[in-house]
Amino acid sequence: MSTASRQPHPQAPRQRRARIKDVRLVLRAPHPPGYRAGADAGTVGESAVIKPVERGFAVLDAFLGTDEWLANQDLAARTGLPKATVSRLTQTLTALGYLGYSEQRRKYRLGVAVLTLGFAAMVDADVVLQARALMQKLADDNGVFVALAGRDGLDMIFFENCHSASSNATVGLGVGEHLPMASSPVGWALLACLHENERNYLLDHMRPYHKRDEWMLLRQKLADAQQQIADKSYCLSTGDWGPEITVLAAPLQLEQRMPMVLLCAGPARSLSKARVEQRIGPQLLAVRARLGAGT
Amino acid sequence: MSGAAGNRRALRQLPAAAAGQADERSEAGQAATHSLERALLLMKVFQGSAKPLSHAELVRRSGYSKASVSRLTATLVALGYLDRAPDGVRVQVGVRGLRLGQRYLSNSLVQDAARPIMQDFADRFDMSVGLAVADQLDMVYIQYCNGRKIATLRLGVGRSVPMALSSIGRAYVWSQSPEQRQRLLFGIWKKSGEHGPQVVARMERAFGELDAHGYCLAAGEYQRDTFAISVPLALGNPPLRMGLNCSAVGALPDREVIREQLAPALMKTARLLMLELEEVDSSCF
Repeated sequence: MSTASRQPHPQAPRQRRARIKDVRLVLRAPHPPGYRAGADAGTVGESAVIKPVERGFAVLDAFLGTDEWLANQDLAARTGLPKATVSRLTQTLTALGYLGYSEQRRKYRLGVAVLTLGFAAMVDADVVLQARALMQKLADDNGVFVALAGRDGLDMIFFENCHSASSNATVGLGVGEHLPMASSPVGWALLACLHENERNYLLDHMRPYHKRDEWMLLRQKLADAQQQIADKSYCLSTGDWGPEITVLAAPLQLEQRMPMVLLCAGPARSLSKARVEQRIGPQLLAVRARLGAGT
Repeated sequence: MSGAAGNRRALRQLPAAAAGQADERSEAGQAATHSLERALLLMKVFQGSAKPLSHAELVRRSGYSKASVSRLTATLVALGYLDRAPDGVRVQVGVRGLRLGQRYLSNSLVQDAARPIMQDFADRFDMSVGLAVADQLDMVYIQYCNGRKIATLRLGVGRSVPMALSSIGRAYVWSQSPEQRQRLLFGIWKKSGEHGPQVVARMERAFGELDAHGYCLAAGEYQRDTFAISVPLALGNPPLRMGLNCSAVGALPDREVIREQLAPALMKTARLLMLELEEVDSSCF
């Protein structure tokens, strides 16, 4: 079963085997290897991927783990690449400013040039700019946390977060942070608005990272969220994101854009069902409508 | 397999030939990292904008052949650093790079330490204040604070501007040692092609201002309708050179105001930043 889903990624068997042991790491840190390559297989042949480029980015991705500083041998262990290849890549990346090297530590860390790989473009994308003021107002008016998230591999990534000025209990998440898609209501809202084929494709890839029982439960919750979104355009869940946290998530599909999710979250005790249905839910949908999304 | 091993054994007895092979291998290695370098440069032609670009535009901006642009875009799309635009033809920046940038910024010790000092200036004069470090021949903002009136915008962090055309870049180049300054100017000259002489002449004019006053001005050069005042600074231990600027939309204020108020305040901000970060290991910036 799981071997079948690995079939489209013959290029990274070594990485896959090394990571499969640590499920949590796979979900939190970098992409499941080869995932994107598979997702775009319709338009891009696997053979089209230039190996040295892929390896260079694999080295950069290794820095997304817990350690800020990594030596060549750490990188070799994490990427599964030969040490000679790694040292050649780190040399190039350091010369170009994507990595910094400390003589003292004899280790590397990310350099300033990684900001040119899309940080400015994503953070200041027009949708985010446009949404920011509306989201902040929603957050302040209702004392909730409001965020805009999109998909990055099998994770959800936050493009913009607005913390309420009026409430001190908020969600400790920053821009660019990740959540596993399968286990959060934010991910379910996104999955719900995707085309069936894409949804099933993503689900097939998430499946190996979950225990059987856990997976059945998640599928159940996803189906429930889908039903809610079909009924009222957003889904509501309490306790799935964290204890005592209620989340409202609405898919946001704009023309010319990848699908995103607009969400509100706050302590369960202050978000009563009536309050959500009469105030916050409609306001969330109003923000969504202002951003230009049809229902 | 055994054939290759046999070859290797034979070569061990012929040191000259073995050296030749090693050379060849490192050449292949260079070719390999060369394509990585090109892919990374291709990401830069988007200039921090989310706007989709066509294939022809990418070819024009990067100067690579059509075929290699196709191959590089296909790879970057497969890796998620680029995305196909919804029209299926053009490509745009993907979400993948966001997290590397985010991680860099959250590691950086400058970000948090510099913010209150820069924000203070931004609020006092209602201007934007940026702190940028060099990235090849560009300056990349690692911190950017807006005045209160435009607080809903967060344009800035991660954005890069050409060293040659921005006052912050010129201040940075000016602060370098003579040899390093020469090397940067040569690189800028070469990159600017036919405009090289003018670009460098304008930089040298800015160096004159910096020699005389310690700051330089740019009005409407890189971005229309804006002006900026920049000073060089070196932060941390060992000192790492950067640039600090303040900028605003609109006409350049009176020379008097700049000389008497803005420039001294900006230089004071630079000094405060230097003091604040004096003891901090600059390899952690």
